[in-house]
Amino acid sequence: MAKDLEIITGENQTEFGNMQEHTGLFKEFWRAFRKNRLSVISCIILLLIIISAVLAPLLATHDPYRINLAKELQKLPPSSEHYLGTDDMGRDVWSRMLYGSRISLVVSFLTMIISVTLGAAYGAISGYYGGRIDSLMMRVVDVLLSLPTMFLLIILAAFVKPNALGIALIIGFTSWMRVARLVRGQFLSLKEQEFVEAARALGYSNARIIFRHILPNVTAPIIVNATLMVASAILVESTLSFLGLGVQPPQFSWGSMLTNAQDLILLKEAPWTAVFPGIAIFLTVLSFNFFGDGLRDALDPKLKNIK
Amino acid sequence: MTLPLLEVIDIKKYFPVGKESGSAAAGLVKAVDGINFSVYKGETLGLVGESGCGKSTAGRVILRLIEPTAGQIKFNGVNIEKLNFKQLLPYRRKMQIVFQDPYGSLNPRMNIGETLGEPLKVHGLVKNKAEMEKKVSYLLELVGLSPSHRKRYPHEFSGGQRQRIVMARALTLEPELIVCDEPVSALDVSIQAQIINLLKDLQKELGLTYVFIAHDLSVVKHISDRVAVMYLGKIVEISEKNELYDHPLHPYTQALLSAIPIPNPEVKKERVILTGDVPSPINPPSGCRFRTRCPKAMERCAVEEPVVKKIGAEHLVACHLLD
Repeated sequence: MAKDLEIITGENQTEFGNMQEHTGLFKEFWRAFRKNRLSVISCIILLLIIISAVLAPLLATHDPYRINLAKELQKLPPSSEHYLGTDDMGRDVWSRMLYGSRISLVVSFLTMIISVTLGAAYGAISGYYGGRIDSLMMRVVDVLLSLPTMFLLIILAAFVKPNALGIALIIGFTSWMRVARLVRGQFLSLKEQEFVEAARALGYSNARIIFRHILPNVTAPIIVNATLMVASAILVESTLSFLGLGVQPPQFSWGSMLTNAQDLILLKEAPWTAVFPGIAIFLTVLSFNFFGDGLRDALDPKLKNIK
Repeated sequence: MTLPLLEVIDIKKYFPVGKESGSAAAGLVKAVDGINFSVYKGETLGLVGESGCGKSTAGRVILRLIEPTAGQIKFNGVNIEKLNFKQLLPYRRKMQIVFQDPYGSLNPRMNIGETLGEPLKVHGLVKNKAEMEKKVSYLLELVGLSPSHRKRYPHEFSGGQRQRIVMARALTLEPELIVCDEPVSALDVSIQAQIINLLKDLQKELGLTYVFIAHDLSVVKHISDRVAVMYLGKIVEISEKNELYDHPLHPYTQALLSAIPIPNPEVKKERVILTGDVPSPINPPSGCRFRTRCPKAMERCAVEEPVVKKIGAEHLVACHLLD
C-alpha cells in the first residue's frame, strides 16, 4: 500500500509540474518576460532602432553622403537645422547615424544567421553521432577557440571583399564555435530521450531525427544565443570598421563614423561626431544583451520561479 | 511445431565502461550475457527481473536500437542482426516498441496528428493527406482516444493518455511484434489496469505478439502466456506462466515470487528474503551468477556454470539443484 501511495503521489507531482511548465507556451513566456522590465525596455529600444534604420530615407534631414567643402558648414554644433551637428566634411551627423545603423544591423544579423546555422549544424552532427566523430569535431572547435579572434579577423579581412556580406562571413566564421558547443551539449542529452529511440525504431533516417525531432527542441537556447550574438557582432563590426577593415567609403557604419572622428583635434572641436555614434553602439549592444538575458530567464523553466 | 516469430540465439551486449576517447576500455558491463528465447505468433512473453538485470537492454537489442555484441536475432526465420539501415526498414515495420516513460517518448514539439502521420508518410503507407487523416483517426479510436485530439500537443495529455498515443504510434506501421518496455510502471495504479486491458484487447483484435518487459510480477502474470526470469544478464528460468508461478524451480524465481504481496492479512506466507546486493555486471561471480545470494548455494555453484535444462515440456531452468 505504501508503495502504491508513493507511485500515486510521484505521478501526480510530475504531471502537475509538467502541466505548469507547458500551459499556453507563449502566454507563459510572455508573463515571465514581462516581469523583467529592463529587457522589455531594451526590446522597445531595439524596435525603435530597427524601425529608424528601415525608415532612414524618411527620417533623414540631409543627404548623408553629401560633402560640403564650405568651412562654415563644417563641424557645426547640434542645432535645429542639424540635429546632431555636422562632421569635418560638413555632412549631417543625424542623417549619417540613421544610414550608418543599416550597415551595422545588416552585418550583425547576417553574422548571427551565418554563425547560428553553421554552429547549430556542426554541434548537431557532433552531438548526435558522438564517440570519435564528436571528439574529433570538438577538438577542432577547441583549436579555433584558442586562436586570438582579433588576429584571425584581421588576417581573414585581407581575403574578403569589404562589403556587408564579406564582413558578416568573417565575423560569422570566427564566432560559430560557441553555438556549436551549446547545441552539441543539448544533443548529447536529448538523443538519449525515448522519443528519439522511438524515431529510430520507426526507421527514420538520421537526418530526419536530427533536424525534425531533436533540433526543434533546442530552439530556446539557440534563440537566446543568437540575440547575444547580434550584440557581439555589432561590437566586432565596429572594431573592424574602426581599424579600417570594415566597409569602405563611401559606405559607412557606426564603427567607421568613429574612425573618422578619432583625430584628436576634431574630437576637441566637434565632440558630437564621436559621441553620438558611440552612444548608438553602446545603447544597441546593451539593449541586445539585456533582451537576451530576459529571453533566457523567460525561456528557462528552472529560473522561472526564483524571481 | 511452428516456426517462432522471433528467435533470439545467444545474444550478448557488453558496454565498455570508464572509456576515455581513444583509450582502451577499463572494463565491460555485461548487460546481456548470452540469452536464448523464442516468441511465437500471438503470444505474450513476459520478461522479468530486478533493476539492472539487462531486460531493457535485451528488448532494445531485439529491435536493433542497440547493436548486439554477439548472437543472432531471427525474425520469421530471417537473421536481422547484420542488416544495414535500408535492409532493416521492412523489419522496422514489423517490430515496434512502447517505452516506460510516457513523458519522454513523445516529441514535445509535434502534435499528435504529426506524430502519428509521420511514420505513415516515411514508409509510404498512405497516398495523400486525406488518407493519412483517416488512418490517424482510426488509430486514435483504436486506442480509445478521440480523433479530435490530433491537433493537441503531448503536454496536454495525462500519462495514461500519452501511453495510448505511444501505442497508437507503435501500431501505425501495422507491426506483428511489439516490445513493451515496462509500459505501465510509470503510471498510476488505476491507469495501469486500463493500459493492460488495452494491450490485451489490441492483441486479440490485431493478432499482435508481445515481449512484455516488467518488474511487477502480478502484472506480468496477468498478461503473459510464458514468462522468462532474468538475473544479471542471463535467463535463469523460462516457462509457461501457471507452471512458473505454481512450481518455480530456480531459487531466484522462488524468492521473487515470494515477494508478491497477497491482499489478505490472514494468510501467512513464507518469504524467501535475499540478502546483499546484485553483484556488479562488470565482474559477475564465477560459476552460477546467483550463488552469492542464493540460500541453497553449494560448492559446485562457484566452479561450474549451470546449463539450461529442460524440465517438462516447456520449462527451462539453469540451476545445479535440479541434477
